[in-house]
Amino acid sequence: MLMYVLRRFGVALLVMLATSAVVYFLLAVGTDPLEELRASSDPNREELIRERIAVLNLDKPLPQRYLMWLQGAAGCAVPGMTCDLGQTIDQASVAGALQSGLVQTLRMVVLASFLSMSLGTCLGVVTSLRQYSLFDYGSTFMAFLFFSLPIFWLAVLLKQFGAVKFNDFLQHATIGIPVSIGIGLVVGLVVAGALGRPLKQSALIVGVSVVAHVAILQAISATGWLKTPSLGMHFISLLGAATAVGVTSVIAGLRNRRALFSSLTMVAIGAAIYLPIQQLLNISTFGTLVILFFVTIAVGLVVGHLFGGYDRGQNRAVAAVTGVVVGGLITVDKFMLHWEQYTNHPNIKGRPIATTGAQTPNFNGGSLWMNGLDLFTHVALPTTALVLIGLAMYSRYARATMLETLSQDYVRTARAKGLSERVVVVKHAFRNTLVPISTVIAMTIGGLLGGAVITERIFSWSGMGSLFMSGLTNADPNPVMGFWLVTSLMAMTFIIIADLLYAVLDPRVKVS
Amino acid sequence: MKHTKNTALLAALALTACMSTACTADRSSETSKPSADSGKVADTATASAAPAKDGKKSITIAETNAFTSMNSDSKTGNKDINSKVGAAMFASLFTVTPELKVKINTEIGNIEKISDSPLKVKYSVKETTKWSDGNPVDAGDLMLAWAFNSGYYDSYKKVKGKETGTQYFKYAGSKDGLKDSLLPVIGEDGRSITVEYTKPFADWQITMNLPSTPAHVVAKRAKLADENALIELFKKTPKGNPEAPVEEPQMAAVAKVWNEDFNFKSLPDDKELYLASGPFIAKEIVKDQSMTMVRNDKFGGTPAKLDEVTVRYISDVNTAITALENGEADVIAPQPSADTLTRLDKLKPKGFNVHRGDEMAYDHIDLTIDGPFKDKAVREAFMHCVPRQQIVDLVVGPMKPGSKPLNSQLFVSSVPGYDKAIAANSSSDFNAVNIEKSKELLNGKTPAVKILYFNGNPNRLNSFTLIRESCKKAGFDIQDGGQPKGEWTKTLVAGGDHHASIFGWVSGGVGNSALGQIFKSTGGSNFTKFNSPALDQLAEKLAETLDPAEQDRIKTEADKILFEERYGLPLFQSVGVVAHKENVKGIQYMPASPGVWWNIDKLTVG
Repeated sequence: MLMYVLRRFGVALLVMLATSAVVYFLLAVGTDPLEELRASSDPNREELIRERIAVLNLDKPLPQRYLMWLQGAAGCAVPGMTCDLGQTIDQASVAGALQSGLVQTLRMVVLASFLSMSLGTCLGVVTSLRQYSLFDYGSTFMAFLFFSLPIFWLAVLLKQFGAVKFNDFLQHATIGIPVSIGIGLVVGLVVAGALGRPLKQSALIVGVSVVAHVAILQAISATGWLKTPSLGMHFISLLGAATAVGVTSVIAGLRNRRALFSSLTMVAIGAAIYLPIQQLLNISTFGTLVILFFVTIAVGLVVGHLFGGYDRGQNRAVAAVTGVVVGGLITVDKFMLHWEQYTNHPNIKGRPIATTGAQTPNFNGGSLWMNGLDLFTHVALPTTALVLIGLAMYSRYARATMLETLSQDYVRTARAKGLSERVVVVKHAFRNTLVPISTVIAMTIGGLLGGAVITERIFSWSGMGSLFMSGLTNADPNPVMGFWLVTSLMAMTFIIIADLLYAVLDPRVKVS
Repeated sequence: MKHTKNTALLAALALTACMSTACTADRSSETSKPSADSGKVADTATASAAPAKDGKKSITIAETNAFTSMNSDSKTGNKDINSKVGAAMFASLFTVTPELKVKINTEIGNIEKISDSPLKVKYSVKETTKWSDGNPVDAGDLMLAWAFNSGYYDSYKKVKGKETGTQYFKYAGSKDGLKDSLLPVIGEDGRSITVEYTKPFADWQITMNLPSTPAHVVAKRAKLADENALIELFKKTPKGNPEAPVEEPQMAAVAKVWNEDFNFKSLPDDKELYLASGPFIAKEIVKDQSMTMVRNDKFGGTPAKLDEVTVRYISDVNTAITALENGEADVIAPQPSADTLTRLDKLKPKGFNVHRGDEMAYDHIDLTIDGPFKDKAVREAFMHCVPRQQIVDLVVGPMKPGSKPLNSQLFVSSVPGYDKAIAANSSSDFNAVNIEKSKELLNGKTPAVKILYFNGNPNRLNSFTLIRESCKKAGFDIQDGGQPKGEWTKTLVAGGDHHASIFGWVSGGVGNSALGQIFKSTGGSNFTKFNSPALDQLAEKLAETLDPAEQDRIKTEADKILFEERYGLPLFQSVGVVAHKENVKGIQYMPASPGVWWNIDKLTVG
């Protein structure tokens, strides 16, 4: 095992060495840092050219320049040598630029990849269970539609409708009855499709959905809820209870009453501490939330354990998951309570959803909640764009793998044993589906950092992508090489991790 | 079983309905009070931003590039964005107006010519002009400006690839003129210096300004006792001698501070590195995102009308337009294209203003005085078949209807001397295509003409295609010499096998350096082997002429020669655009640097 890992890293190192040379030489051949200066009518043209040559060492032969760069880069890995990734054309440190670029890019892609992975996998599993249904065809069509949309175009649409028009809408925030009916219809159709009931039941679902949506949306419109949103204890309890039922039915089955009651107990605890915990939340930092997250899980485990019964493990899992969801609802509620204050902030001017940048300039909300909202309004559009596009790959992959698993002999055996469909799907099929999916996920994480170049540019985020782009346009080799170094290192590492993960998850596979 | 399924179904439906719409809640049950005025309908939430609730007058300007340096005079900091925000933060002895006239800012100080022969220029700063730490802007700052503008102490020389001596201040601009000046005399008031030139210099008025680097801070950081020690250093250090270079470690330390210490992408801890002397002072920089400046209360001139100016860095044109539409930027000046302008024009009814004007960049076709074009008659024949109006209609027309070709090699259309120049030169002969005249001059010859241009630029490609179509009719055998990025400039400078070249220059707007740099036979940017003794004489004379009227007369004369000698043809000036919210007052289209920032202290919102 150890030898295997070492050998893989050795090979990766060689690959990186070779590609670094290729990238460096292609850059040197393909770009010309003196371009803009040469055709200049500036009286000190000569001097500017001389200066640029000195900064980029253009008077030295190409192999020597490469070796100089390599030496500096190697210094970052080898102790005792100085780490030097060189300077940009305007003499800023590349290492510093990489650091800030990395932070920005992570902000943009982490949430997006988490959402597209989880939503994509869920969608894939559901469509595989309803294979060749209208829902299957519909979601396949949508997935491919978004997948094939160029991101720059999708981004323009999102900005126009998700930001400009939505912000205009927020000025009045009234929803018409036809729009309410439309939303109800769409949601009803999706739900009916996902549940795959007979026509009569499906029609009932759609009808109920339309009526419910008209009632709810009109209530929202009349109370100005969009301007002053909140959930409050009642809705947290209601949503929590629904979550409890949903989570229990998937993980333990509703027949397991102990599991159901332990998760409902978590909802009750959440509702009970809703008011007292507001004081703590008012002074919370991000760290507090992380601590609360783990506390919630611990409480869930304890509650599940105390309910006892023949399968405490299920109780614990159900309670913990429900607890996390209820905690999430309380957090979302807290953000909502700050929404009005946020939109009325002098720097926001009542137009919250942003189309450009990672934060409102010169904005300091003073609390986790205000700054969190600012981050949210800036992340919303790029994340949506990335998720819509990323969804297709994960859902297709999950669907294909799930279908393959469902046709396996052991699934048939499980069904023949008389296990419930829930147990067959969740325990026997889905778990095995996760093995290949997890390796795909590991590999795409490796490619994430370099993958959002266009999205970054369109939304004016100064992450890794913009570093790469500006390096290319300015014929500036060092930032491009820095970008290459980070992204290829990530890709290499995660490919190795994916291989190892496969072996860990699937006992039939051995690494050697 | 059935019962369970139905429960699940209902729960799922309730869940999705709630999730997709979210549900209302009784706000009275909350203990926290999120907003001071909760429940009140947001009255500030209107598309055109009225002055913000707190009464602060602030605007946000979108710019393409990110701020990198306070010292835009240095080679490292020499970027458009740095000089733009510099215009807001640093006092200036003169301003270039949108009419491209030089205006002395007498409330800051003065630049006076006190003697013609020898040329002596007195720079003085008013007592009220101060750095934001209270330190006066005075003779030390002027001496520092002179030191880096003149390169007086440099001993650098490069002979046959071997470099000797030192270049201290890495100044981005041209040292022409001041490099021939003597050590200035400091005035008794300690706030003025007098620079004496050994040779007359045409651009004396615009060659030097106040520095953006406070002399007292530079002195301190270079480990000198104080600003006076810096002045003493400037006084006692001898002029650099490239033949016998002497190391000057103290000067090197000062220059190192000036070259390096003022470059940063986010505000440093040391406040002295971003002292302001102008109407605004830096308050916050978010690296690679935005920069905020607030009014500088210590500013000596008329205070700025705005309380706060924010710059957002947005490199993508369409992103900038959406940002304007969505209220994230109040003023944008994107690189225009026909699409950009259509989008902006559509915004007009929603409460936005759009100004368009000519930029300082212009495209032109130059003829290489060699091969077929050695013969002046062939040059003339070629110029008669260049369809200039057609090119303008195709390239500029969609953005700025009714545009005319540029008709002068030395004046851009925004400059006062332009009309006089085109009346004197023979550009009107080439306003319309004249194939007959062209054929007559060619006299049956069919010379092959290869035209060099950058084929990645659609405008140049269009110009080339139209010229080829038109000149074919006259008998020219036009060959495509288009080259990709990186290649064409090499060919242009080295002189390839092309006979003509289409490319762009950027006019400085004010100043007189173009004639000597581009058209003089020894000019550093003369790529066409053009050689006219009469013009060379005029160029030399211009460089030493001090009277602005006389300068214009010489340039008009030179322009006439360029057309008479059939140098080539100017084609069109690029179009520039500024769009802003209606409530931003005082914006005027400014063709030259620093764009909308030229009157940032006069802008306001109302």
